[in-house]
Amino acid sequence: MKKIICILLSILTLFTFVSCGGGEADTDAKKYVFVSGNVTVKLDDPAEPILSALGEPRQYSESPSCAFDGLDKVYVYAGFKLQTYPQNGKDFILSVELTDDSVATPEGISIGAGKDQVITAYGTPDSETDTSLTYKSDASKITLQFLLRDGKVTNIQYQKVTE
Amino acid sequence: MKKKTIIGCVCITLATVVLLGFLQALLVPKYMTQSREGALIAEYYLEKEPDHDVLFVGDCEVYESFTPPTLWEEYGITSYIRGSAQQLAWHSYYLLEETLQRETPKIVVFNVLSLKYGAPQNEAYNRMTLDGMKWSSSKIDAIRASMTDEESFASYVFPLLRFHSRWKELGTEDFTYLFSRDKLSHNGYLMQTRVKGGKSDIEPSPLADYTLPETSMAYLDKMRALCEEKGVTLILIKAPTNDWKYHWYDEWDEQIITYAAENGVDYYNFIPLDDQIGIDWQTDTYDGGVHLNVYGAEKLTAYFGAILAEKHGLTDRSGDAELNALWQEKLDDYYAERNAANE
Repeated sequence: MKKIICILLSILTLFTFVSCGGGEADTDAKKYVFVSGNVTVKLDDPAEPILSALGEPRQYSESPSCAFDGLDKVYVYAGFKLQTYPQNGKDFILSVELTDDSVATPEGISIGAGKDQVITAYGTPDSETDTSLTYKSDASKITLQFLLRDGKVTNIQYQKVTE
Repeated sequence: MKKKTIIGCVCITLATVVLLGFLQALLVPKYMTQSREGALIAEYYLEKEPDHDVLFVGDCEVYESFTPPTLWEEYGITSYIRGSAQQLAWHSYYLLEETLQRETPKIVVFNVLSLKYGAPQNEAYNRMTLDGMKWSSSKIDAIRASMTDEESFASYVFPLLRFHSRWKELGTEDFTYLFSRDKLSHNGYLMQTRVKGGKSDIEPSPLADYTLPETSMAYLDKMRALCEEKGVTLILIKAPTNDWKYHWYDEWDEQIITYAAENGVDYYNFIPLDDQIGIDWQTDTYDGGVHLNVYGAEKLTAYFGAILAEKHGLTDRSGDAELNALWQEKLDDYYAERNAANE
């Protein structure tokens, strides 16, 4: 009887305590951070202190997911747009998009810059097409994408790579 | 002694199976009060002798935009929605394949928004479509096509492997619905009666590449071929909602128009037809224009029903006494929920 109980407990323990985890440190994180004035916007950081520091947005909208609680939110500021995602009742930074040339990345690239200027500032991209240069941080799962038209930057997007 | 050992082993095995079965039933999400969309796929199997004129497949834009009871009430057309949250093109294909083993509708309607995704996206959404499917070769193929890198096939066979850690989140719902579930939908339509008007004017983000992914387009083509093989008419639609988050770009629309023309398939993009349909964005949406509520869905269904009847020749079957009785029950349930919201 004791043996039977031991076997059942072992099986239960196996199913209860199996877990997954892990992760590696990002070694190239600086490239994937946007700065507006004295506010540093880092993807995946809690949104509340960043939004407070940025002040009132020009436009705001929220959008529910198809099935889960919480709202994806978008805040439009002068020259850039910031999106958040909900997790466990709190909002986190999902993406930052630079929409006009009144703002620049910390490396000095703004809309209208040439493709060569981007490569000089950021190095060889992880992927390149006629219409984009993309830099990826596998560790923090962030992409920085420069959209191009006729060799000029038309849009800049810091994005968290979702599943 | 030997006999005793064998009996002991059998007892241990049986006890283990029963215990694991119970734990699995307890720990899997029930989708009855939260994320109710997760219950939709399994509800189809409650249909006795399924025989529908129209079958809808696709994402939230089908199960929030069309109401089968309205289609019956106004046009005598029978329909079912096999929709689920973020249902991707391969989910839709395998659901269609499985459903066409059970019935042969006259028309299959597919909502094109999910064609923007070329790769598996999210395990939680995969679960909402796949866990509800009955086991079949279609389900096996669907799981294989859908898994993200972190998922395993075994966890679909034994969901306990995936949900064992849910014991920390167990709530009343898990015990109430341990062995049975309520029926939540109206032939796959998940009713939303709230009103939260408005429509965002925030510009969607531009994309580096507007080409719809090859993978999803290949599954669209598989759906087309399957419908052709079964003698079913395929219709492509885009629901009238067009939010900054779930945006349907003009460049995508052009590709679908071209695909439809090249393959002799009808495509209806309802986005520019919202006025014609009669949608009032102040009253006909429950979440600020992202999805339609029941009032908007009824308007769209009435509009689409006319197309199905007049252009696609679906006939009014309301003269069939047996069908009438069946659908009267469905209408009673539908209006009971709809009217309860207004009380």
